[in-house]
Amino acid sequence: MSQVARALHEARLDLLLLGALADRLRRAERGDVVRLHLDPPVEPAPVSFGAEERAAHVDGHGFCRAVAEARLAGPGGAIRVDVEAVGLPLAQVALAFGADEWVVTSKLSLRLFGEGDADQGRLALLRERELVGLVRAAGRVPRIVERRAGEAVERDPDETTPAARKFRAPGREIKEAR
Amino acid sequence: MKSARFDEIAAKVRAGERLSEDDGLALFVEPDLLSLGALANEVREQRHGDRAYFNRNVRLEVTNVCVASCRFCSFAKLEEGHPDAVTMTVAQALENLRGKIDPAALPTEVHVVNGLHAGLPFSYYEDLLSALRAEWPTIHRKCFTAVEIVFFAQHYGMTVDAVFDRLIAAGLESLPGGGAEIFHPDVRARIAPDKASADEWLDVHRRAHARGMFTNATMLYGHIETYAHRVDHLLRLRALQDEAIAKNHPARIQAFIPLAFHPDGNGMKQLPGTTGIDDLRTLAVSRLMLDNVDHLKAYWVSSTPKVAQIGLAFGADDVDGTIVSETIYGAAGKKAPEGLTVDDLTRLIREAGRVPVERDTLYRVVQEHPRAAPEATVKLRDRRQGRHLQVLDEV
Repeated sequence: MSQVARALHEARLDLLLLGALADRLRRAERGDVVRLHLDPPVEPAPVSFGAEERAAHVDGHGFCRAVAEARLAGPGGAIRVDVEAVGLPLAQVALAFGADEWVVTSKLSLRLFGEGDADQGRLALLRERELVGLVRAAGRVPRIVERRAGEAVERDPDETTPAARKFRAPGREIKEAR
Repeated sequence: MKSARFDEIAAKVRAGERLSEDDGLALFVEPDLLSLGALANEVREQRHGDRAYFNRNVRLEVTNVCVASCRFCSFAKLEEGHPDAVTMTVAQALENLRGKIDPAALPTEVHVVNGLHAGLPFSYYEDLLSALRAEWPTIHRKCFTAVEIVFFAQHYGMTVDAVFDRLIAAGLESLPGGGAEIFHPDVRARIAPDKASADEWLDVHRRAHARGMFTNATMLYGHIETYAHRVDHLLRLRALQDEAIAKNHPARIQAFIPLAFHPDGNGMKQLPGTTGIDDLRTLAVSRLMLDNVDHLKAYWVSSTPKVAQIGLAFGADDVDGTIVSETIYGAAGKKAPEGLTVDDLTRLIREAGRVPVERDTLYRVVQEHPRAAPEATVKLRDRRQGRHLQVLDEV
């Protein structure tokens, strides 16, 4: 832990103040884009939050603090959150505390309220457009990142893709054909 | 970035002015979530300082058989004889609770809500209350939503006041806040067409307050309602509370509890449910709009413990309780654990920088826990930060 990070952590700033600072820095450094990695990312991010958070049973507050501190005192660059590991609600909240990338590698479904116990509850289908909607609901601009031929390829989520076609509203293709 | 409108609203809040319907709508679309949370937190800290409340409670649902067809409910139109239908006898209900209650550390509250079962006699509910009082006289009985009270009145041919007379005589002490859903008729008619109307719900609480019975209030959000419907809901509750205060009723709404809609296993399963940001935003707006309600709960069962914990920075001052065995959200696919221990709750509160205060149902302090983190919490924090690895290296 760097001296700056340690000092920041030990100062125990108010969570929302810390978050507001981190969010401002995120906007200046990274803009409003949130990259959604739908395949395992080609490159590691400077800072990632994933499996470790799954182990912390009840601590959402500490998670947000850690994301904000990573933005303010970390190495810079992307702060990546593994949505399936931390759960979608917390992953979305992390976007307000300095995070700017999500990893969502489950192709077909996500656990909408994923909080650890894989045996309980129905797996809610969470489609690409819903992920995009959630990012937009956080006031951010989503970009999809996929791996093609070993390379990370970024695209606008509004582009038509095989996945998007698959999940289009019923009857839409008929309207388009007309 | 904050909107200009937000600064105007913040100025009103700081001047002690009441927020309008337009203000509420503006807050729901305010782009700067953290500024919204900080404003709600100001109000929360003015009322409660660093205190965050919880209680030790147990839940009991004696029957999930229900004549109502609420589209959000996983027990809708469940009839006796269905494989999933459960109706306990009073003896079974007591046995069920004995399995949840540690005699050495009695909870302070039993929270009873049920389906609307048309086949039980009214005396069943009286017997249940009497039995609870006889076996655990010190445990507060917070039982039956306003929807159940209206159902009792209609089904058994009594007035609401007559229902109260008999239930209070049997041991009823306060009312939970369930059944409010969304008051606006455009939504209520679609999601809960055949149970108590908004006016009936509000009237039950009004009558409860007049006779000295404290109540809570909820709002089920995140389904087909709009922000305008949420604001309308909050304003109706605020008006009810104004009335209780103006008429100097001996009781009123103690706490408001926003309930996040969960889509699994019910008639609205095609909807996506709420999100973390929506949960926090709703808490914050509720805190700012409900200027006459003392407490705001971040109900961990509906929003998950982690989001509820963050909610303590967005206006909430209460995380509800240990809640041993809750089946309504369980049926709707919630992923929160079955119950939290007192240690879990105090740790959750401390990690949020608050002082854990165990309360009873009426918000009397049972125990104020120390602010300092006990050893177990320090270890958790160390583990999260990777310090346990440093310790290993040093060894």
